[in-house]
Amino acid sequence: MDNMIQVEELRKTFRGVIAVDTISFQVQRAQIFAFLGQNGAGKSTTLKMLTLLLQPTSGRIVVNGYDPSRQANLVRRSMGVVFQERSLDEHLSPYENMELHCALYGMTRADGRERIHKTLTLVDMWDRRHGKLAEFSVGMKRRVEIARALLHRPQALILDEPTVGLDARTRNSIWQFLQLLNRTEGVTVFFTTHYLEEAERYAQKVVIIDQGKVVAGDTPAELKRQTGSVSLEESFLSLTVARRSDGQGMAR
Amino acid sequence: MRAIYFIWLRPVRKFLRERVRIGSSLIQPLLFLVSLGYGLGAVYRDAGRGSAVDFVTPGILAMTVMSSSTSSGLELVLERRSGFLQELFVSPLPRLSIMAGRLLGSATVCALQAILVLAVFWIAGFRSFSITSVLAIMPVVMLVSFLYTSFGSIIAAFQKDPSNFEIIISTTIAPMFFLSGALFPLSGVPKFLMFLSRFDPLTYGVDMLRFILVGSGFLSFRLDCLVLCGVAGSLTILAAWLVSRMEL
Repeated sequence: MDNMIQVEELRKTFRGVIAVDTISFQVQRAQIFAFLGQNGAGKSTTLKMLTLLLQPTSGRIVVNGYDPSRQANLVRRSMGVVFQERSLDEHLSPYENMELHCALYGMTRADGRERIHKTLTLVDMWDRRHGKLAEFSVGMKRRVEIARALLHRPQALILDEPTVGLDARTRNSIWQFLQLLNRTEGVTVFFTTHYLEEAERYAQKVVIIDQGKVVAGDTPAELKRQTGSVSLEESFLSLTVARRSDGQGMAR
Repeated sequence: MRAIYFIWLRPVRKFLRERVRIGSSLIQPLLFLVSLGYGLGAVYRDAGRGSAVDFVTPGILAMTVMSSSTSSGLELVLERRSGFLQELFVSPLPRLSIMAGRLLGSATVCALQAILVLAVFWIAGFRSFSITSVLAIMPVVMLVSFLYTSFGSIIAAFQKDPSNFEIIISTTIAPMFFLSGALFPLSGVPKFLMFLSRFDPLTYGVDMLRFILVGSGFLSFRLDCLVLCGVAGSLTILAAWLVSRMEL
């Protein structure tokens, strides 16, 4: 199976401080992939480099077979991004936010209209398309953001903490939807989360980053087997804490 | 072009939907008109300087455009914080187009505000202008808006904190406003003030507005035009370059 995302020897430093330290991993097409790490581990920096918001200091990224340094727009069109921060313009309605997204990705008016209808219906928000976002719950806004990220038919969906701050029912419904999308349309799902039980339940592959370095990468079952743990959370803790007590942490 | 249109439309929609913002954008100009235009009217007349309302209105208009434009830089800081800027920056649309949409949107809002201010001033008694002169000031309003939207964007490119941004803006635009001759004639000021006012781009904007609205300028119209176009053009290019290199 070929790779949707390929990261090779990726490194990012900020004024001499290493945020991401020569990491490599692959995400296969149509895979649900979890990128885990504690706060400050380097997840967000990696995600920003993947989405071309940050320039890597060194290393290479390939997305959908495209090289961002030469084919940045093809990389951008291959991905739909859902940010951890709420990135909807609350002065606009969900429909207007979606219209803006269609225009940003150069979609025609007719195609945009059709996709807005389809994606908002998928997340069960079509009836609220002209509603006031300020009056929406966090879960509703998240659903609109996911629908928006799907508008331009991306092959990969990049989600930064997609379920943070949501109740269990909404988290579950979002995951049902993401799984359906992955199964029926073959969309690759790359996500970060602090809810390790979500990674254990839904991810086919997990990569753990700690202090800028990849410390493990495998299926949740294999990681549990390797660490002799009963849950992914336990594996995560043993892998990250063990590394720190071995004195392998970086000077910051 | 469609994407630039939607980026242009955002601030316009926002302005038209926020009635509080429309109302509050009129309060400060009215306050200046009442206190300076009417309050100091007698002093102006006695000094043989004509109508104070006629004199301060172009200055108040320039102040309105300047404040509104720099606040679009604050929006850039807030959008960076909220994540909305990321939505724009991960898209394939070139950042220069994003900047063009923002500049045009901000200039349109400023033009709407200028029309509103003049309408309110007309009701309040300032009737020295015609429909033609209102149309004629629009290019000047747009230029001043480009200049200060770019200025705000340049600060926003370096400053991630909204309160620091506001401190920097208020400490820089207040001197520009007071030095511009918006509230007092530059013809009678000490030489050092006159010297400093020549380095203030708003001086030329106020002078152009005054020339078009009430028919009396202090500097030559051609010089006003050249300086305003030059500074607005340079700052726009600098802002576009900085925003295009902005890392989130």
